[in-house]
Parts: sequence; C-alpha cells; structure tokens
Amino acid sequence: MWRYVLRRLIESAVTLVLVTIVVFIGVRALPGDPARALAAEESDPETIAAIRAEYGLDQPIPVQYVRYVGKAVQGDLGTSARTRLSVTETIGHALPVTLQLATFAIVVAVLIGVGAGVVAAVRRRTASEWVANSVALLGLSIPNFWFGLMAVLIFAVAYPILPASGFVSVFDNPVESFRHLLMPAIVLGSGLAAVIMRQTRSAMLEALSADYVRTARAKGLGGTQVVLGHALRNSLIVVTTIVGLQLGLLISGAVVTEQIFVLPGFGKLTIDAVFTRDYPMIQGVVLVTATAYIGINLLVDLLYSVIDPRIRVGGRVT
Amino acid sequence: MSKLLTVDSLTVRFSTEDGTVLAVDGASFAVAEREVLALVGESGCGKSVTALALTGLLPGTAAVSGSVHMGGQNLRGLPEARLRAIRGRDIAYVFQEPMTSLNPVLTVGRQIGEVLRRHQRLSGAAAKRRAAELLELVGIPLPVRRLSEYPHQLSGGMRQRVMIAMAVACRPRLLVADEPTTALDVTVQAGVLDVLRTLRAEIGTAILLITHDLGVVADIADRVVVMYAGRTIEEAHAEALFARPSHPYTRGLLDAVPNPARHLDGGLREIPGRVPQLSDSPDACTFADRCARADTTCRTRRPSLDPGPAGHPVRCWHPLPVPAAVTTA
Amino acid sequence: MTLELVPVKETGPAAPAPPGSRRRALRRVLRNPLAALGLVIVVVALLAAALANLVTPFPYDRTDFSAALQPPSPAHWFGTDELGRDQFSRVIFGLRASVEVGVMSVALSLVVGVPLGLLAGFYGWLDPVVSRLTDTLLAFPFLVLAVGLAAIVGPSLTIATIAIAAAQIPAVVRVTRSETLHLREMDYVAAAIADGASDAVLLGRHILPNAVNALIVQATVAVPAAIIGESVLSFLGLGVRPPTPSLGIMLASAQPLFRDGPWLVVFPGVAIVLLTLAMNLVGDGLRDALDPREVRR
Repeated sequence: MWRYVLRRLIESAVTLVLVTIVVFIGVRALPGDPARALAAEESDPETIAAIRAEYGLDQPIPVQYVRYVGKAVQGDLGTSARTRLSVTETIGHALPVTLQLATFAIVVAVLIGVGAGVVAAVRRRTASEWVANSVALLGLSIPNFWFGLMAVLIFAVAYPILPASGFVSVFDNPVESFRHLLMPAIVLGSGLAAVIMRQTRSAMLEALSADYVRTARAKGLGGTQVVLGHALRNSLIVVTTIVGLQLGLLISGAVVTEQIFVLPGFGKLTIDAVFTRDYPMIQGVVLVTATAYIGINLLVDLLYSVIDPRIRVGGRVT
Repeated sequence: MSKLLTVDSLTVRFSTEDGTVLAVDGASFAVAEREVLALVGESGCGKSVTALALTGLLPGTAAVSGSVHMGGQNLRGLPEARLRAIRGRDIAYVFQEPMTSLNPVLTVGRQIGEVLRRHQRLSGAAAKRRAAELLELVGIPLPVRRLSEYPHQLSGGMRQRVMIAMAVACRPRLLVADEPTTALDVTVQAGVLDVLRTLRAEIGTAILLITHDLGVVADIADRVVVMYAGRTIEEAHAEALFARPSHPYTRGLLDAVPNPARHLDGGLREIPGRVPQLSDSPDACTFADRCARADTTCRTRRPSLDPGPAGHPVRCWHPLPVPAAVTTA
Repeated sequence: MTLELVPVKETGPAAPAPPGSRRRALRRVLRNPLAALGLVIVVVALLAAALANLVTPFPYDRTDFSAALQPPSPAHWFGTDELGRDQFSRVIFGLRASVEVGVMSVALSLVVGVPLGLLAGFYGWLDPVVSRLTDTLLAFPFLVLAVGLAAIVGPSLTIATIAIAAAQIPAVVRVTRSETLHLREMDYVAAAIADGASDAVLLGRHILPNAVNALIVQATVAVPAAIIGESVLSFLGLGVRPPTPSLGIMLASAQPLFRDGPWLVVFPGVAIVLLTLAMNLVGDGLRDALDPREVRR
C-alpha cells in the first residue's frame, strides 16, 4: 500500500510542477508588459527598466521560474500588480470566504445527494423514485448562475427573507452567516447534489442486485441492515471517487456564485486578476487552485484505498 | 425417516420485459431429516429458482404459488419478519460464486458474526470464538487469523468453506447448497464435498444439493430429483437412478457424461435440441420435441408423476424399460 | 460548472455490439416517453435555431426605444429589454450560439481526446505521459483557462469553444483509455493479432468501433454541460461578443435590471434549462438503451 501512496505522491508532484510551468509561460503570453503594469501610470522608461530589474523580469525565464518557486515554497507569492498588496495576504483573506461557501455547499450536496440516491434506489418504481430522479435531472440542467439569479429574485426581492448579497463569516456570527450563505450554498451545491444523487443511485442499484446482498438476505438480515450495512458501504467507494473529482470543479464553479451574491471570495479574485493582467496574482491564484485540486484528488485516492480493503491489503481489484 | 421439508405444486412465474416466463411448473418433492437430496438438471431448468422460492428470496417480479411445509407450518404464507427468523437459522444457503457472494469490504469475521448476532445474539469475544470454531469445523487452517481477513485474500475453495461456515453457524435443519462446487477446481471440489459430508454427520443437517454435475451427485447424494423445463420428471435413490433411469432425459444426461471407454466409437452424445423457455404450462410433455420415443400422446397430454417400471416415480408416457441384466440384486 | 464524468462502471464496459444493436437501441429510446419528449424538444430547438431568420418576428438587434422594458405581451411574447429589443427573437438566436458552441466543443474534444485515449490505453509506455498531461489540464480551473485564452486572443465564440473543449478533453481521454484497456484484452483482438493485423488496423477497426458506445454516452452528458458552460462564459463576458445574442449575455445584462424587468431573467434561463433538460433526457434514454445488459439480447 505504501508503494501506492508513494506513486501517487510522485504523480501529484509532477502534475503540480507541470501546472506551474504552464501558468508561468502562459502568463507571459498575455499581452502587456508586466513591468509597465507594475509601474505607476506614465512612468518614464528608466523607472520601468528599474522595476524590471528589481523584479528580475530581465532574467531568462527558467531563472525567473526557479526564483519564483523558491520564494513560493517559503510562502511568498509576490506582490499584486494592481493593489501592491502581498499576493499571499490577499489570497489569505479571500480563501476563507470561498472555503466556507464550498464546505457548506458540499455538506448540502452530500446530504441531499446521498439521501435522494438511496431513496431512489430502494424505492424503485414508486413516486419517490420519480421525484428524486426529476430533481436530479433538474439540478444538472439548471445553470448555477441562473439558479442564483432566480433564487435572489424570489427570496430576496419578491419575498425578502434572505439577504441578496454580502458575506458574514461563520466564526463571527453563525446565524447571520447561515442566512447569507444558505442561498449561495444551495446554488453552488445543486449541480454537485445532482451528480452525487445519480452516482449513489446507480452504485446502490448495482450493489443491491449483487450476490452478497442475496447472501445477506439469505442469512436472515433485515432490510435496513442490508441496505445500509452492505449495499451503501460498497456504494460509498464509487461515490467518494466521483465526489472527489467534482470538488475540484466546485472551486471554479464558485466564481459565478460569488459574482451573483457578491461574496469577496477566491473566485472573484481570480476573475479580477486575469482581467487586469495582474500576473503575480494570476500565478498565485492558479498555484493555489491547482495545489488544492491536486491535493484533494490525492486525498480522495488515499481515502479510497482506506475504504476499499482490496486496495489496502493488496490483491487485485477485480 | 420423517419428512423435514415438503414442497407441493410449487409454481414460479416471472414477469419480464418480453412477457411471462414460467420458471417452475408444479414441482413437488420432499426432503427427509439428515438426507442429501440432489436437485439435478441443465441450466435453466428451474432448480435454483426452486431453492430461492423456499424462503421467499425471489425478487418482486416473481409470482409464486404452491406450498412449502416445514415444522408444521407453510412457509409460503408467513410474513417477511417470520421468514427472516427462519433464514439463516432453520434453512441456510450456500451459493455458487463464493467471490461475489461474500461482501468484499467486510472481514470474514464480521460476516460470520452477522449471522451469530442475528439469530443467537452473540457478540464481541463470544462471537469471535464461535466464528473461529466454525472455521475450524469446515477445515480452514489458522482460523483466528482468517477472521480479520477479507474475502479477496482467500482462495476460491476457502471462500466456499467460509460460506458453508456462515451457513451452518446456527445449526440449520436444512442446508440449501446451490451449485456449491461448480465454480471451483476439480481438486478443490472434493474437499468441499467432504466438508458437507462431515457437517451432515456432526450437525445432523439435511442438504438440498442443487447441481448439474452428475459426478457430484454420485459422490454425495442419497436421493435425486431430476428437473426439466420447470417440472420434476424423475425421483429415485441415487444408485437406482444411475442403474435404472426411467426417463429418456435422465438417460440422455447420463449418456452425455464424457466417458472415454464408452465414447471411443462415436464421440460425445448430446441431447438434440434446446431446453424450451415457456410462458405457460403446456398440456403435453415438455421433452417431447427432443425425445426419440415421443408420439402423439406425448405431444397432447401432460404426463403425471407416477411409479415407473424401475419402481420409482417418473413423469413420462413411455418410460425406459429396466435393463434385463440389472434386475438381480 | 459541473461536468458529470460518467464512470465506466455505470455503463459497464461496452460489450462488442452485435450487428443491428444500435438500431434496436434507437428504437428502444423512442419507446421511452421521457426520452421521446426530450428528442422532440431538441429537434424543435435545433430547427428554430437553424431557421432563426424565418421564425423570429423581429431581427435580434432591432431597437425600439418606445417599447423599452415591456413585460410579455401579444406583440412581444417574451417582452423587451431596455433597448426595446424583442426578447423572443433574441432567445431564438441565442439558442443558435448555444447549440453551436455546445456541439462544436464536444466534437473538438472528441477529435483530440479519442486518439489520445486510444494511444494511452494501447501503448503502456505512453500511458503515464498522457495521464500527466490530462491531469495537468484537469488541474487548471476551467474559468482561468477560458479567461486566460480570452485575455490573450480576445473573447469570441471560438475562444469559448476551445476553452470548453479543453475542459472536456480529460474526460474523453479517460473514457477512451478505459475502454481501450478493457477491449484490448478481448479474444477477437488476440485473434486479429494472430492474423497479423497492424496496430492501426487493431485500433481503427477492432477497438474504436466498440468503444463508440461509451463515447456516445459521454457525449450525451457533455453537450448539455457544454451548453451551460457557454452560457457561463458569456455571462462573464468571455464568449460571444455583442451584439450577437447569447443566452448568457442576455442574462448578464438582465442582472442589474432584475427588479425592473424580471422577465429578462426568466426567459433566457428557461430556454437554457429546457434545452439542457431535453438533451439530458435523450442522453439518459440513450444510456439506458445502450446498457450492455440490454445490448446483449
């Protein structure tokens, strides 16, 4: 099993390096002179040249890359060209917002998704299954941002019970935080819930028709025990992998939600950075996102090996 | 010997996308205490469905009629809760595919423990001890270690023994074994059959053995019921069946077993044609199309199960005569 | 944007399709009422988009300030926006952009992804390389990719198509690779090798046709997601350039006005939802019909 862990770690590291290289080069493909962007308006060529030297922008690219990586490892991601603030600090302020939103969204998505999926699988050919399926289908077909707009229209404008925008940290005021994050979380989590529901249902259906479930019933075990203890346990493996994959997409999905509900989060930071050619910020943002995504994937893989003993204790997964 | 289980006119119909399929057609037989009854037939003859129907383990698409009597009550009429008490405790199952019949993400110990907890309220250390005893009973070395292992870490033969251990955990009165050796290597098969024999001796359980392998039947069965297209067509003690088969189909099955001595001349003997898939019970002999002895009666009237020339019940209008040379004891 | 990656497990590895099975599958889809309904909606939408010039009562950029910000009425079925443009016409034209991008991006992702997947599955030494590349692509936040491309070249329909295609490629590669890995163990492949078939023939004639089922399933999930993706990009200003209408752009301009003109938000959104819902229904129907358990009949 440790060989597996090691292999995954190496793969993740390689991917991360590749991503940083691509971003580094890509950012430099953006039109506009970074030195000029860093300098104040209407600076003379000498100032610009000085800035270029100061930031090491006149060095060959590989050298710049190495310097960047070296500093990044120490936590210094450079300075924003737009705000002159530390990239790390800015990200540090924006990230918790998105993290709270994402966590809330994931919790909502998992609860609804797994619950609906199990119900749909167990209560086949009944009204409940049809309802669950339809809801999942809708969740997949409704674009986040439109859902968000409609939600604001209904719950903030027509029947104002929830705030239309703004962010309150859960550590400051849990109740207000809940009120502000409820709509965004549901909007953000809806797509994920739909995917989870379908995967859970499909995995459960397969598990319920498996031989070992027949054995369990033949042993005299009751319905609930069979469903939860046997079928669900096996389904969770597949579900975990899928959820893990989707989490990464959640991060970019948050961008739109943050736009609509005006949450000063990571997504908004990303968009602004690219639109304003703030290349240190772009690099920082992509680095953090990619690290998070790769990290999550790695975690999910390792979690997978814990849940599925076939991987953990050797032997082949048939 | 008293009758442990009596099956009477069991009929099972499945509703499928293509219409109704008649899987079991009025099957009747009985299993005595401590006896090994083999239910024999080709794939698709309804034997597995019969086995599952005994304790109501068939899916919702199945319509079952007939009766199954055990211990003075008709299992068919019992509510699900009562059936659950019987499954695993009075009637236990061993299935064909040990790899897929065991839950891959639970340890062997836990899966055996489930049965103990359900029917005997054992848990914790007591359950572990009992589970280890059971593993030893079925001949698994180092039983305590096995408890914490997962199914995929065991070989096919060992997995099947684990299945058997799970099944006999509560000393059931009837063990239903559905093709227990089919998925195993020949060398391993013998071991599993040995285990079944030992269990019958030590626990006194009767065994309903479902198989299409006549070699297994010869090895371990006391009596045999032959099924074809959902109907029971012959019933006899094992040696009688092999020596004096009455139904042409049984004869065909016996002939089809590859035997180098007998087949050097012409090759393997097959039964021409295929097992029909029926949607209704025709008023005719279902084997008529494949039978060399069939006539108009066979095609227009359903034969009933009556004593035949060899002295045991057979469902045939023209059962085979007894070979002259064998009439002497 | 959630991209639903259909794991191969859900559909099962595609069994070699017996002849005529795909036709049978199509018939099975049509028998399913929901899928049939979806198909009807999709066809109607496609026709409307293709014949937009004939179907719409007004040109999409015709402004009429005297009729600005009107709620739905017999003259303007979906109402008008702040410039007096008829919303119904704009929605129809917007559908066109959505469908174009949706289909083209998926097609592009297939063109790039399938060969990569085939190669990765077939040649073991190539596998890690391709896998690292797709992982890298996958690790890029989709929107950063799109925004970056838009920043370099300028936003346009093409950029949106490429960005969405890039986001879909990893899934296509994964599915193809998975199918290839499974199919190359099949007996008929071994038989073909024994007959002296070249790698190209193996891939082209034996493996690829049998992987198509799984790819069809992937595509039916990808197109609706791509359509939503296009609307997201347009919403953020990264896709189609005005005045060409796109459902996303319409929603973007509707956002500040939603208190005064809620219909501006409702109709374009409903159009997107209907189209993707219909496609998802068809996709589900296709998926059920192509289920290997059915195909084997």
